[in-house]
Amino acid sequence: MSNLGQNKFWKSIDMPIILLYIALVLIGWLNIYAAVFDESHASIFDLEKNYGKQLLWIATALFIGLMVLLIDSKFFSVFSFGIYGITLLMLVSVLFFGKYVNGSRSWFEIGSFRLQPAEFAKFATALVVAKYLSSGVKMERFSTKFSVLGLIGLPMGLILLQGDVGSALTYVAFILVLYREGLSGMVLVIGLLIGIAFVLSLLFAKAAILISIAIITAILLYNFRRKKKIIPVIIAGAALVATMVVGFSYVFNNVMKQHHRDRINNLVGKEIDIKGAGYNVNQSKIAIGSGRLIGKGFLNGTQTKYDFVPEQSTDFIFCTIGEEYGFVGSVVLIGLFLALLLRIVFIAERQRSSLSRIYGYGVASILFLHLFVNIGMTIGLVPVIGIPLPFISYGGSSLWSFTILLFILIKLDANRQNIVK
Amino acid sequence: MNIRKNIILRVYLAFFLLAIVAIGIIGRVFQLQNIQGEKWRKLSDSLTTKLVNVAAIRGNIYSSDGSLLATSLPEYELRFDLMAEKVTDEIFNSKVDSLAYCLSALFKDKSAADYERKMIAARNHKERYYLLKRNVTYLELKEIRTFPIFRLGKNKGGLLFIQKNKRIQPFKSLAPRLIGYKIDGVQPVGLEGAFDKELGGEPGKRLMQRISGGVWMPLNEEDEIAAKNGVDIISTLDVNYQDVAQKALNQQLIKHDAHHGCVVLMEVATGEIKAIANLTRIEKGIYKETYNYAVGEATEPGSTFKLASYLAALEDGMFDTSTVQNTTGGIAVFGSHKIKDSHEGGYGIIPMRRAFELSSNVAISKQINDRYNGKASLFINRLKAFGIGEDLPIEIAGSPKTRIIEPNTPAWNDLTLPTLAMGYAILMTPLKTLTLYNAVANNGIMVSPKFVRELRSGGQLVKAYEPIIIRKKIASDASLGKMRKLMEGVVKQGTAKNLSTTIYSIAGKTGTAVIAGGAGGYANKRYLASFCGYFPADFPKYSMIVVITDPSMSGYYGNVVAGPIFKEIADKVYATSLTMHNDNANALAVAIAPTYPDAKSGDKTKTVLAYQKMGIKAPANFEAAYVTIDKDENGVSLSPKAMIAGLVPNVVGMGLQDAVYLIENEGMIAVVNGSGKITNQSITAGAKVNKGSRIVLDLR
Repeated sequence: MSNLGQNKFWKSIDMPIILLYIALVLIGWLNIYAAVFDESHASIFDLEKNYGKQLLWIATALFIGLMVLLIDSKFFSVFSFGIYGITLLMLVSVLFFGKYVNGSRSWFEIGSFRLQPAEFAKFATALVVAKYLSSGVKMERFSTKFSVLGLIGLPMGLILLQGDVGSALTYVAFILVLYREGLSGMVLVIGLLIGIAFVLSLLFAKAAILISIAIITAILLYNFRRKKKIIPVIIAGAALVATMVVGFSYVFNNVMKQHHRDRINNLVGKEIDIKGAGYNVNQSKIAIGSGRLIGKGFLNGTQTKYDFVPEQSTDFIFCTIGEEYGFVGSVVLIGLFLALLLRIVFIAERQRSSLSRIYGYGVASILFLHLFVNIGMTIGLVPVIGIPLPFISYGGSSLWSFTILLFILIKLDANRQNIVK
Repeated sequence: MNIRKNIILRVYLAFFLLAIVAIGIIGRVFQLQNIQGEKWRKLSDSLTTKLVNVAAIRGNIYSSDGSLLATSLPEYELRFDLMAEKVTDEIFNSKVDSLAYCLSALFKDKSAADYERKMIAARNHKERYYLLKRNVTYLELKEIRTFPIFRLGKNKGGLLFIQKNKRIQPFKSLAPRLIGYKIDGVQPVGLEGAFDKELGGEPGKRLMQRISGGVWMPLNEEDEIAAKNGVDIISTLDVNYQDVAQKALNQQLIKHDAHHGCVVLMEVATGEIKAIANLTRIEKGIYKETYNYAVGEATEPGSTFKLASYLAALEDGMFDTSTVQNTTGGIAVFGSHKIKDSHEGGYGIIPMRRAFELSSNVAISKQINDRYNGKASLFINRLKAFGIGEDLPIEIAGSPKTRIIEPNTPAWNDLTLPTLAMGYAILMTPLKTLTLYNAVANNGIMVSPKFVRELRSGGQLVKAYEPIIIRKKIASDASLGKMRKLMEGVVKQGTAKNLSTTIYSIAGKTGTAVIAGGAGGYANKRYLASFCGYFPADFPKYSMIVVITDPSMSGYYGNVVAGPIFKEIADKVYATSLTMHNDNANALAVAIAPTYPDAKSGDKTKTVLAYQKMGIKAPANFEAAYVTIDKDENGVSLSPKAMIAGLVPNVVGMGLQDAVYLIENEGMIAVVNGSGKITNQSITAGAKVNKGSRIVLDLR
């Protein structure tokens, strides 16, 4: 490659995204150091501790990111189904050969390293959805919806089989992509209804909700008794909500595991148990709440230092930021994420290739859902769902996977002049 | 354009969603940190540090003569903070083997290699609260603080210790039930229970910090609020009398293979309990204190209650001691029931005085039944005027109420009055019976028994317990005088003739009751042998009650079973109580000790005084605090017992009190086996004192 070629290569890369990525990764590393800080292993490079290891993950992630940038962008388009297939195979085989960690069978153990296929399935799914939707299919057609839901549902179902409800939930993010690509707004409305029905079925007795639905339906029917066309809609809607309420309470009581039920009950305030299921959240709130405006300072968080918050270097990493850097630190971090997401949406919208655009939305949606659920759970907005905070949380699999996810977009964007099909 | 608009709308919606979520999260963080911040910060503080109670040092219990009956020894739990500031890898690795060696050499419970291996493992696990050893004494702790690594400084060297107080009774077997105990979750017993608040003091506070792994560690070296130590109790007990009482009771219980028994010795004027012994058969020949019968067991007293019947009748003018009564062949019939005298065929026609001395059941039950015929409540009220039926205002809990049947109640029948006259149909504790006898001996002034003389704190008087007078005068001097004469008669020429001495006189009354027990009622013939009285009869100083329950060998009469205990204790108390003595002390000394009286080695002044009082020459023309006594047929000679500070004293031949005093003065701990005189000491006299070391004393 000539000098000119090299320059061109670097110039075509979107630097703001790279900078945001590096900033987030470094913030993550420092906060992992603070979260598991140990006076006897004071070096941030100590490979025995999570912070030393994270540095290793960061270095390898950067290497992987560079590899992604160096691969021809056609590769991702051509082999999207292949990559998707391989990850599905991994998801199946982990069910048989995986190792149980925290009640889920979702890890491969190779020597002292552990790999979580569910993380890699995220970008593979984003890629395959983009590939499929950009192949000239019409969103309005039922077969399209069916196929694309199948592509999303397959890895989701396999991950559910592992018992990893949290990771499975992240695939819900693709609804946003589908909406951007022309899925009827009704989907979102129905989604909202599902959410409301779900919360209602947790908070109130089934019978009470069903009676309320019946009364509301009766009133509506009376009011619209002259408008014959609306009556079936009202009845169908009422039946739908009623079915969902009954269905959810069945799922809640028979499909979900006890610790999920506890977490959800705890969130909606049904059971207050600060020693059991609510322990994490309560400790997390204490850590964040005690941070004040500017925090207690680097390595000065008492809640953090004395290991009050479980899983603090992974899922509850936001506590460390909240405690040691306070409100200002939290706003800065959320600001960085927001900037990243906006930049991704901006990049997605400037693509000429619909594959690149759809993929971009996929990346944004996945990151958005992780951000919302992860931070939401540490501050008690959503139930405790064990998913990482992208780029920040400790863990090789997630860092690698998010890096690949993001860098494929960067690569696609770098090649935006050449339409990728 | 339409499609374009639609897409732009959808993009805006995406941005909008992002904005909503961002605002939601930031808002929530703001709420947590600034609106609810105070709450979470408080929780955070309370979660990382907390104040914990530090136990105060419990007060001691002393006997009236200053011997320690119960005390607390501090004990420590040793913890090792392996991540302490100065315990660097370099120091730890180079010193751990010598620390292990020192610990092993001190405790001798694990090998040095064992200690080393465990400490290294603890360090690898980064333990900050590793348990090294429990129950470490203060002196051991002092030594440990000089060990390698630990000597680097208090918290910095990693040594943590938590003080715990262990309760011990130095005179292990002396009056354990009266001293009592207090264990969490168990009904407290005795003085420990009764004076728990006073002995306990007020706990202090210590700030503890949570460290990783969820353990709490003291934050500062000193307690934040110092504990207020408990006050000391000076009990009324006399260690020597207590010892005598327990031994005498134990011997007699073994001899008669009785189920249990109790003895209470009370000072007539003050009500102070000088000795209280309660023994229960654990197995044949082995007795232990398991229950305070004297205070806690109400039984039908039997003949000792006749004192009350006679006194009531005298006070009410129903009969006089000279009134004669036919004992009607030793059988009296009341309705369908018979009352018998223990002497087959009765005693013929005798005055009531003689009936008391012989303890005729027929005489007293007939008299009371006839005289109080139709006026039963007069009799009951008279008994109540004596304080019978009232609760005693004593310090310790667990005393049952006296049960007395009231006339005109369903429980009352034709047999109640005649049987009450001879001590049945009423349930009362030995201590209450003794209180009545004590009042008769005390010219009618009824004082309550008491166990505590005063409370002291650091030697300063906190509270003195004055005698509690229950009745200023229970009966007229005339009646009391007659009763005392009757009780003297019991010993002189009555049922307790075996107790009479020529040196001093005992007055009292025997009791031999049949115990109502279980389904068999009175039929299975279990007995309660008792003797209650006072001495010296002409100038009452002490009153005493002895109650033996269910003797199964060598007789069951009160004079045979209970009497000898009374006599043995009274003899020893009389012999050692100088204030009681008059001219015939010499004669007593000869009487109870055919050769020259033996004495334990001990305090020179006291020994000399004792021999002087007995009129025995015991020259001691030398300077010494303690003396050894040698005696032969010719007399007694005293020689100085050398006591050099810093050297283990020779305590062989001494009594326990002197020995323990000397040994603890030297900073050693006395471990006592047996009772009596010291026959052997585990560390040879003259050896250099190793402070805190244990010395075993064998007594026989």
